[in-house]
Amino acid sequence: MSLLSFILASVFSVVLCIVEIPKMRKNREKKELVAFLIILFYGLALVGMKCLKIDIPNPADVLVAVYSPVVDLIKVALE
Amino acid sequence: MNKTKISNHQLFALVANFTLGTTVISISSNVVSLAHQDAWISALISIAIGIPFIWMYYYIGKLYPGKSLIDILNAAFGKWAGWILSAIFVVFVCYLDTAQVIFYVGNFIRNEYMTETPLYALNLLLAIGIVIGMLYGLEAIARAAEGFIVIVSVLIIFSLLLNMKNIEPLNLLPIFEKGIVPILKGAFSLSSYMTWPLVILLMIVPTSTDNTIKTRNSLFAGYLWGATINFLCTIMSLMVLGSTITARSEYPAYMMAKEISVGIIDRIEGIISFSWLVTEFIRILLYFYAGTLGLAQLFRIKDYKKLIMPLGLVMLMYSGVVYPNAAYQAKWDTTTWVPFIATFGVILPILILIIKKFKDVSRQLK
Amino acid sequence: MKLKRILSLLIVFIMLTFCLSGCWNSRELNTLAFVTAMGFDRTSNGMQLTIQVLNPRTIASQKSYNEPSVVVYTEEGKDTLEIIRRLSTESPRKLNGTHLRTVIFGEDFAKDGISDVLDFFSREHQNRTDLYFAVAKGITAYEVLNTLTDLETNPSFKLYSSIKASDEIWAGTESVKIISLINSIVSDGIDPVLTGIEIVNSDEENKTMEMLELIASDPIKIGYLAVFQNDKFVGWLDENECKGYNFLIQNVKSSVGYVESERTGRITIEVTDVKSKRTVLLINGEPVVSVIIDIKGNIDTVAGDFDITKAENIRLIEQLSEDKITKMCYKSINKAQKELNSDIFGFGEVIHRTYPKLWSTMKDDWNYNFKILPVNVKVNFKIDQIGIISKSFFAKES
Repeated sequence: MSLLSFILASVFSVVLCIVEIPKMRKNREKKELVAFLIILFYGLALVGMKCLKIDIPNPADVLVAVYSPVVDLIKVALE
Repeated sequence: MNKTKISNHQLFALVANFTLGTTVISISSNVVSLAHQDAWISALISIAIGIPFIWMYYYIGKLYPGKSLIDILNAAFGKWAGWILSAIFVVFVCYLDTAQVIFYVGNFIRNEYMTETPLYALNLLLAIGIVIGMLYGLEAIARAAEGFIVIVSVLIIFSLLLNMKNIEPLNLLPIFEKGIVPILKGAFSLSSYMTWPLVILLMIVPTSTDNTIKTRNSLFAGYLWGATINFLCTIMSLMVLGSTITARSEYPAYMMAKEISVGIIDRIEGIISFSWLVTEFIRILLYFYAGTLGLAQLFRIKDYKKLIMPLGLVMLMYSGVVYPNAAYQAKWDTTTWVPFIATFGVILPILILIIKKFKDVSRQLK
Repeated sequence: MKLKRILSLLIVFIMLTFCLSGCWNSRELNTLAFVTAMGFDRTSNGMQLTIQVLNPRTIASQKSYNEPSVVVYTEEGKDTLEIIRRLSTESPRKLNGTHLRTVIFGEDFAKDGISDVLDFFSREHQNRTDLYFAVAKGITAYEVLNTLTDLETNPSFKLYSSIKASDEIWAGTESVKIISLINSIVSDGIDPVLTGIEIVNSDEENKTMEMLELIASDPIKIGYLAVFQNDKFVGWLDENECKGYNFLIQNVKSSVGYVESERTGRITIEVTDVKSKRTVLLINGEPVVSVIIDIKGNIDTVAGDFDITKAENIRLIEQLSEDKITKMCYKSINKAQKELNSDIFGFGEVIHRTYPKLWSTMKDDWNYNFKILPVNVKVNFKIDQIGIISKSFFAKES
């Protein structure tokens, strides 16, 4: 199942590249092309990590860590 | 740079949908667990809390006409600090919320309808819909919202009316049993989902509307419309289910709709989940739109539509990551989220206003 | 260029088929068995779960089969869902709980507490909230579910509809849904009651179709009320006490009663409208509950030659009814306070709502405080109509 979904995601990416890249090249949108490729590979990497059962770091954990002093402060203040 | 325009009535529909999404079906149980049977007072108070904030968001947009929040932050805090703040805004407010709300919807369907279906399969369908909506652009989203808000309002009010025979008004008593503090806690918890996330409208309102008094009025009208329906749902679920069951069920409004049984009208909770899905769809689209627009502006990319498909893939993958389990979700929703969104929805706009006023005064002195 | 576009569209379509091919865990109707009633009993191994499953053949087809419309399965075990899954070894189809109507607890099972089962019913996504609960009186839930009934082909629908019907036209019972049941268990100031089910002339032979055709009446009868303390069963209210209870909590939509005395003879009255108002007063800092019940009724039958056209005679009937109903109310209050020690009337909630501060000091010891709580009942009976004839045709002219 996981292999299949990775293959599907790859196929999706390849098709997307085939369709989108020539258009961007024709319009000389260099920045778009770079950003597009970076995000696409990032997404593919996430799919790959998920399929290999590697834990993807949760961005929400950053906020939990940053805001935990504030949360504690509010808790103390309310009680 | 951004030529899209939306009418004031479309803005009304967007704001109303945004306010209704998430709050109406799942957040009310958090509020009730804080304020118990007084949660309806919390809902009223948070409507009142919201009005000055909506006015403030509108006022900032008026001070910086034609500029999005990214430009405003750059202008107020300077190039570097502004860029970093914008980046935090884009990643943690817009994209994190996109992923979280996608999770909300998928999780709801998985809990109530298809328990054995993998979360990603449900989220994938939603993500495809969102990407298609985004590719059509803001005008299409706004036009869809216009239609949706009518359907949603009619369906929700219809289901509330059908529930009239199940109500037990005594469930609301005693009022102010534990004093005002739990009520305020509930009100702030509700505001953190209903009011403060509306700060993302600063990505849309200054650039895409005409910024007149009518814009302000439709902002207020949309907010009040959404908040009033949310208030009605809260008070009805308290009266139908009682405070304990409302606080401890995951989706009280849905459970309340299960109680409807009037003549042949029976088992119509599907209409509640339908209207909730529709409002959540608009909410996700707004978050995603604001985030993508912000990302494009951060890196000075002209055509944001090129980024939508890969970003959709990233969002889909993160939707299964942001909430590892229900306990994490409950903790995040009631603790970290509230001060975090307060930073962006309360402190940041106030800072922007102060800096702007300060700069104006110092310019006059020179 | 065009080829590429067609190719890419084709691939997108192929990918879409993966996600649009319907539910992940789709189940066809002919692979499901619809559970319509469940019964819980206490046994030495934990509990015994009995389920009634619809027999699809008798419902789907036009011609009537000479076989019962339900199939009963039973299994013992420790946990509800575990037993349900184990039952799939007996049932050829997957059990589906979406059409569950009635849940019956055996008396012994209810004594040990029903909150585990209620948690299951409110947590499982399949279950709906419009199920009715009942307690089997003197027998096991297994026996109730194994008894066939007349009139309704499906015995569990018979239970469901007679619980509903008797709630509407007879004050002796009360129908309880899961929401109100859970609410009365979790709140401190009120204890739940459930409808009781009994089997009249419960012979072993009743179970066969032939015997059922021979006997005239339905063996399953709704009556009595099972009183709980929190989630544990403690005792029964009999018919008169039930009526008193229902008058006190204003749960009477319509009911019938009679008054009898030497002067009046027997006069039957149909109760049409009941309003009861429960208030709490503080007397020397101690709460006193007073209940004022306003009842309207119509005269149905006058047996004897009592002249009901005279105003003072009507007043006499009203007074007699007031006395009778007051007596019923006090009887059920006494039973609840002295014998069962269970606040089924929600007097605690009334105190909670009027005096929240006082309640916070009382609620921890509410079982004791309820025992000594003074309750005053005042009944105002008003006769509305005396029917379409005035004096009885058979009364002698005086």
